[in-house]
Amino acid sequence: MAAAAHADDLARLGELIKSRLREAGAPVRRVSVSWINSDPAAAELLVEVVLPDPEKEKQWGQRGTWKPELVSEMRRAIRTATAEYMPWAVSTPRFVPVGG
Amino acid sequence: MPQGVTQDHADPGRLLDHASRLLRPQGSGRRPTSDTRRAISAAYYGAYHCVTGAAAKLLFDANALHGVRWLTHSAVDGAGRLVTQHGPKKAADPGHGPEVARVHGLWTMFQAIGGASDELLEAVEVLRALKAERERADYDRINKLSPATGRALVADARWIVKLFSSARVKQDDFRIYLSLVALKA
Repeated sequence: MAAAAHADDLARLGELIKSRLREAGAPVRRVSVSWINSDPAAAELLVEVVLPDPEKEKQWGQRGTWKPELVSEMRRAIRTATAEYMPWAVSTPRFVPVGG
Repeated sequence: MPQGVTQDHADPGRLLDHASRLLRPQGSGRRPTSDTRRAISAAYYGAYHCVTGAAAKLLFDANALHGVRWLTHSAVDGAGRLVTQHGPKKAADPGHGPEVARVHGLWTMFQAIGGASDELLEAVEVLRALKAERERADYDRINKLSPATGRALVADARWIVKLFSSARVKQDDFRIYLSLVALKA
Protein backbone atom coordinates (compact mmCIF):
# COMPACT_ATOMS: atom_id res chain seq x y z
CA MET A 1 0.00 0.00 0.00
CA ALA A 2 1.13 3.52 -0.74
CA ALA A 3 2.42 4.67 2.64
CA ALA A 4 4.09 1.43 3.71
CA ALA A 5 5.63 0.66 0.31
CA HIS A 6 7.18 4.09 0.09
CA ALA A 7 8.94 4.18 3.45
CA ASP A 8 12.28 4.24 1.55
CA ASP A 9 11.09 7.25 -0.39
CA LEU A 10 11.10 9.46 2.69
CA ALA A 11 14.84 10.08 2.35
CA ARG A 12 14.40 10.93 -1.33
CA LEU A 13 11.55 13.31 -0.54
CA GLY A 14 13.78 14.89 2.10
CA GLU A 15 16.50 15.44 -0.51
CA LEU A 16 13.98 16.92 -2.95
CA ILE A 17 12.66 19.28 -0.28
CA LYS A 18 16.17 20.30 0.72
CA SER A 19 17.09 21.17 -2.87
CA ARG A 20 13.82 23.11 -3.37
CA LEU A 21 14.42 25.04 -0.14
CA ARG A 22 17.94 25.91 -1.24
CA GLU A 23 16.65 27.00 -4.66
CA ALA A 24 14.25 29.27 -2.77
CA GLY A 25 17.21 30.79 -0.93
CA ALA A 26 16.45 29.26 2.46
CA PRO A 27 19.48 28.74 4.77
CA VAL A 28 18.54 25.12 5.41
CA ARG A 29 21.03 22.99 7.35
CA ARG A 30 19.20 19.66 7.45
CA VAL A 31 15.87 18.15 6.42
CA SER A 32 14.36 14.97 7.77
CA VAL A 33 11.03 13.39 6.85
CA SER A 34 9.14 10.93 9.01
CA TRP A 35 5.61 9.67 9.41
CA ILE A 36 3.15 11.28 11.79
CA ASN A 37 0.52 8.90 10.46
CA SER A 38 1.37 6.18 7.94
CA ASP A 39 -2.23 5.01 7.51
CA PRO A 40 -2.75 5.47 3.75
CA ALA A 41 -6.22 6.91 4.36
CA ALA A 42 -4.81 9.70 6.53
CA ALA A 43 -1.12 9.81 5.61
CA GLU A 44 0.72 12.68 7.24
CA LEU A 45 4.43 13.47 7.13
CA LEU A 46 6.51 15.48 9.55
CA VAL A 47 9.09 17.53 7.65
CA GLU A 48 11.67 18.79 10.10
CA VAL A 49 13.86 21.60 8.79
CA VAL A 50 16.89 22.71 10.76
CA LEU A 51 17.70 26.40 10.28
CA PRO A 52 20.20 28.90 11.71
CA ASP A 53 19.26 30.21 15.15
CA PRO A 54 17.30 33.41 14.35
CA GLU A 55 18.65 35.08 17.48
CA LYS A 56 22.29 34.45 16.59
CA GLU A 57 22.18 34.84 12.79
CA LYS A 58 20.15 38.02 12.54
CA GLN A 59 19.98 38.16 8.74
CA TRP A 60 17.38 35.38 8.89
CA GLY A 61 15.62 36.56 12.01
CA GLN A 62 13.08 39.09 13.15
CA ARG A 63 11.92 39.57 16.76
CA GLY A 64 13.47 36.31 17.93
CA THR A 65 12.03 34.14 15.17
CA TRP A 66 12.55 33.60 11.44
CA LYS A 67 11.37 36.19 8.94
CA PRO A 68 7.74 35.48 7.98
CA GLU A 69 8.39 35.75 4.24
CA LEU A 70 11.17 33.16 4.53
CA VAL A 71 8.87 30.79 6.44
CA SER A 72 6.03 31.25 3.92
CA GLU A 73 8.38 30.53 1.04
CA MET A 74 9.68 27.38 2.76
CA ARG A 75 6.16 26.15 3.47
CA ARG A 76 5.19 26.65 -0.17
CA ALA A 77 8.27 24.71 -1.36
CA ILE A 78 7.57 21.83 1.05
CA ARG A 79 3.88 21.71 0.13
CA THR A 80 4.63 21.65 -3.60
CA ALA A 81 7.34 18.99 -3.33
CA THR A 82 5.11 16.76 -1.19
CA ALA A 83 2.17 17.13 -3.58
CA GLU A 84 4.43 16.15 -6.49
CA TYR A 85 6.16 13.22 -4.83
CA MET A 86 3.57 11.80 -2.43
CA PRO A 87 0.19 13.24 -3.43
CA TRP A 88 -1.70 10.87 -1.11
CA ALA A 89 0.00 12.41 1.93
CA VAL A 90 -0.02 15.83 3.53
CA SER A 91 3.05 17.36 5.12
CA THR A 92 3.44 19.24 8.37
CA PRO A 93 6.59 21.34 8.44
CA ARG A 94 8.51 21.91 11.65
CA PHE A 95 11.23 24.55 11.75
CA VAL A 96 13.85 24.17 14.44
CA PRO A 97 16.99 26.17 15.20
CA VAL A 98 20.42 24.51 15.08
CA GLY A 99 20.95 22.80 18.40
CA GLY A 100 17.24 22.26 19.07
CA MET B 1 -32.57 33.30 21.96
CA PRO B 2 -29.91 34.15 24.57
CA GLN B 3 -30.30 37.61 26.08
CA GLY B 4 -27.53 40.22 26.41
CA VAL B 5 -23.95 40.07 25.24
CA THR B 6 -22.13 36.79 25.84
CA GLN B 7 -18.52 37.33 26.85
CA ASP B 8 -15.73 35.24 25.36
CA HIS B 9 -13.57 34.09 28.27
CA ALA B 10 -11.21 32.20 25.94
CA ASP B 11 -10.60 35.16 23.65
CA PRO B 12 -7.91 34.16 21.10
CA GLY B 13 -6.05 37.48 21.36
CA ARG B 14 -5.79 37.18 25.14
CA LEU B 15 -4.56 33.61 24.88
CA LEU B 16 -1.81 34.76 22.53
CA ASP B 17 -0.85 37.66 24.80
CA HIS B 18 -0.55 35.13 27.60
CA ALA B 19 1.66 32.93 25.36
CA SER B 20 3.91 35.90 24.52
CA ARG B 21 4.30 36.81 28.20
CA LEU B 22 5.44 33.26 28.94
CA LEU B 23 8.23 33.59 26.34
CA ARG B 24 9.50 37.03 27.34
CA PRO B 25 12.97 37.01 28.95
CA GLN B 26 12.77 37.35 32.71
CA GLY B 27 15.72 39.11 34.30
CA SER B 28 19.08 37.56 33.46
CA GLY B 29 18.09 33.90 33.83
CA ARG B 30 16.39 31.57 31.40
CA ARG B 31 12.70 30.89 31.91
CA PRO B 32 11.75 27.32 32.79
CA THR B 33 10.97 25.08 29.82
CA SER B 34 7.48 24.57 31.23
CA ASP B 35 6.79 28.22 30.24
CA THR B 36 7.71 27.43 26.61
CA ARG B 37 5.45 24.38 26.69
CA ARG B 38 2.50 26.32 28.14
CA ALA B 39 3.07 29.10 25.58
CA ILE B 40 2.92 26.65 22.66
CA SER B 41 -0.24 25.09 24.02
CA ALA B 42 -1.87 28.51 24.47
CA ALA B 43 -0.80 29.49 20.94
CA TYR B 44 -2.54 26.46 19.48
CA TYR B 45 -5.71 27.11 21.46
CA GLY B 46 -5.73 30.77 20.41
CA ALA B 47 -5.62 29.70 16.76
CA TYR B 48 -8.13 26.87 17.27
CA HIS B 49 -10.68 29.09 19.02
CA CYS B 50 -10.36 31.72 16.32
CA VAL B 51 -10.93 29.26 13.47
CA THR B 52 -13.83 27.48 15.18
CA GLY B 53 -15.22 30.90 16.14
CA ALA B 54 -15.20 31.94 12.47
CA ALA B 55 -16.96 28.68 11.48
CA ALA B 56 -19.51 29.12 14.27
CA LYS B 57 -20.17 32.71 13.17
CA LEU B 58 -20.90 31.44 9.67
CA LEU B 59 -23.32 28.87 11.09
CA PHE B 60 -24.86 30.49 14.15
CA ASP B 61 -24.14 34.21 13.66
CA ALA B 62 -24.92 36.05 16.92
CA ASN B 63 -25.11 32.74 18.80
CA ALA B 64 -21.64 31.66 17.68
CA LEU B 65 -20.25 31.27 21.21
CA HIS B 66 -23.15 29.00 22.10
CA GLY B 67 -22.80 26.86 18.99
CA VAL B 68 -19.02 26.65 18.81
CA ARG B 69 -18.77 23.60 21.09
CA TRP B 70 -20.21 21.49 18.26
CA LEU B 71 -16.89 21.95 16.42
CA THR B 72 -13.91 19.74 17.16
CA HIS B 73 -10.14 19.51 16.82
CA SER B 74 -10.44 16.56 14.44
CA ALA B 75 -12.92 18.52 12.30
CA VAL B 76 -10.47 21.42 11.91
CA ASP B 77 -7.71 18.94 11.10
CA GLY B 78 -9.78 16.84 8.69
CA ALA B 79 -11.07 19.88 6.81
CA GLY B 80 -7.51 21.17 6.49
CA ARG B 81 -6.34 17.89 5.04
CA LEU B 82 -9.08 18.05 2.38
CA VAL B 83 -8.06 21.60 1.45
CA THR B 84 -4.38 20.59 1.15
CA GLN B 85 -5.16 17.62 -1.06
CA HIS B 86 -8.00 18.91 -3.24
CA GLY B 87 -7.78 22.70 -2.96
CA PRO B 88 -4.71 23.63 -5.02
CA LYS B 89 -5.36 24.75 -8.58
CA LYS B 90 -2.99 22.00 -9.78
CA ALA B 91 -4.58 19.25 -7.64
CA ALA B 92 -5.38 16.15 -9.69
CA ASP B 93 -9.00 15.33 -10.49
CA PRO B 94 -9.89 12.62 -7.94
CA GLY B 95 -11.93 10.86 -10.63
CA HIS B 96 -15.51 9.68 -10.73
CA GLY B 97 -17.48 7.04 -8.94
CA PRO B 98 -19.46 6.80 -5.72
CA GLU B 99 -16.37 6.33 -3.48
CA VAL B 100 -14.87 9.66 -4.58
CA ALA B 101 -18.08 11.62 -5.18
CA ARG B 102 -17.53 13.88 -2.16
CA VAL B 103 -13.93 14.75 -2.91
CA HIS B 104 -14.72 15.18 -6.59
CA GLY B 105 -17.41 17.67 -5.60
CA LEU B 106 -14.94 19.50 -3.39
CA TRP B 107 -12.26 19.52 -6.10
CA THR B 108 -14.84 20.89 -8.58
CA MET B 109 -15.77 23.73 -6.19
CA PHE B 110 -12.13 24.72 -5.77
CA GLN B 111 -11.44 24.47 -9.52
CA ALA B 112 -14.42 26.76 -10.18
CA ILE B 113 -12.79 29.52 -8.11
CA GLY B 114 -9.28 29.01 -9.49
CA GLY B 115 -8.12 26.89 -6.55
CA ALA B 116 -7.64 27.66 -2.87
CA SER B 117 -5.53 30.76 -2.25
CA ASP B 118 -1.93 30.47 -1.05
CA GLU B 119 -3.11 32.09 2.20
CA LEU B 120 -5.65 29.34 2.89
CA LEU B 121 -3.22 26.58 1.88
CA GLU B 122 -0.63 28.01 4.26
CA ALA B 123 -3.20 28.55 7.03
CA VAL B 124 -4.35 24.92 7.12
CA GLU B 125 -0.72 23.83 7.18
CA VAL B 126 0.07 26.20 10.06
CA LEU B 127 -2.94 24.85 11.97
CA ARG B 128 -1.65 21.30 11.46
CA ALA B 129 1.79 22.31 12.68
CA LEU B 130 0.39 24.12 15.72
CA LYS B 131 -1.66 21.05 16.63
CA ALA B 132 1.37 18.73 16.29
CA GLU B 133 3.52 21.09 18.39
CA ARG B 134 0.82 21.45 21.04
CA GLU B 135 0.71 17.66 21.36
CA ARG B 136 4.50 17.61 21.66
CA ALA B 137 4.43 20.43 24.24
CA ASP B 138 1.79 18.75 26.38
CA TYR B 139 2.77 15.09 26.09
CA ASP B 140 6.41 14.65 24.99
CA ARG B 141 8.34 14.72 28.25
CA ILE B 142 11.70 13.79 26.71
CA ASN B 143 12.56 16.13 23.84
CA LYS B 144 13.20 19.79 24.48
CA LEU B 145 11.37 22.72 22.93
CA SER B 146 13.35 25.90 22.41
CA PRO B 147 12.02 29.40 23.13
CA ALA B 148 12.82 30.26 19.47
CA THR B 149 10.45 27.49 18.35
CA GLY B 150 7.88 28.80 20.84
CA ARG B 151 8.17 32.35 19.48
CA ALA B 152 7.82 31.11 15.89
CA LEU B 153 4.65 29.22 16.82
CA VAL B 154 3.14 32.18 18.67
CA ALA B 155 3.87 34.35 15.60
CA ASP B 156 2.16 31.72 13.42
CA ALA B 157 -0.86 31.65 15.73
CA ARG B 158 -1.09 35.46 15.63
CA TRP B 159 -1.13 35.31 11.84
CA ILE B 160 -3.96 32.77 11.96
CA VAL B 161 -5.97 34.93 14.36
CA LYS B 162 -5.44 38.02 12.20
CA LEU B 163 -6.43 36.13 9.05
CA PHE B 164 -9.55 34.47 10.46
CA SER B 165 -10.68 37.69 12.13
CA SER B 166 -10.49 39.54 8.81
CA ALA B 167 -12.86 39.89 5.88
CA ARG B 168 -10.97 37.05 4.16
CA VAL B 169 -13.30 34.56 5.86
CA LYS B 170 -16.11 35.84 3.64
CA GLN B 171 -14.28 34.85 0.47
CA ASP B 172 -15.15 31.68 -1.38
CA ASP B 173 -12.18 29.50 -0.51
CA PHE B 174 -12.37 30.33 3.21
CA ARG B 175 -16.13 29.74 3.22
CA ILE B 176 -15.60 26.31 1.68
CA TYR B 177 -13.01 25.49 4.34
CA LEU B 178 -15.15 26.72 7.24
CA SER B 179 -18.14 24.79 5.87
CA LEU B 180 -15.99 21.65 5.76
CA VAL B 181 -15.00 22.22 9.41
CA ALA B 182 -18.72 22.22 10.25
CA LEU B 183 -19.47 19.16 8.12
CA LYS B 184 -16.59 17.15 9.60
CA ALA B 185 -17.72 17.88 13.18
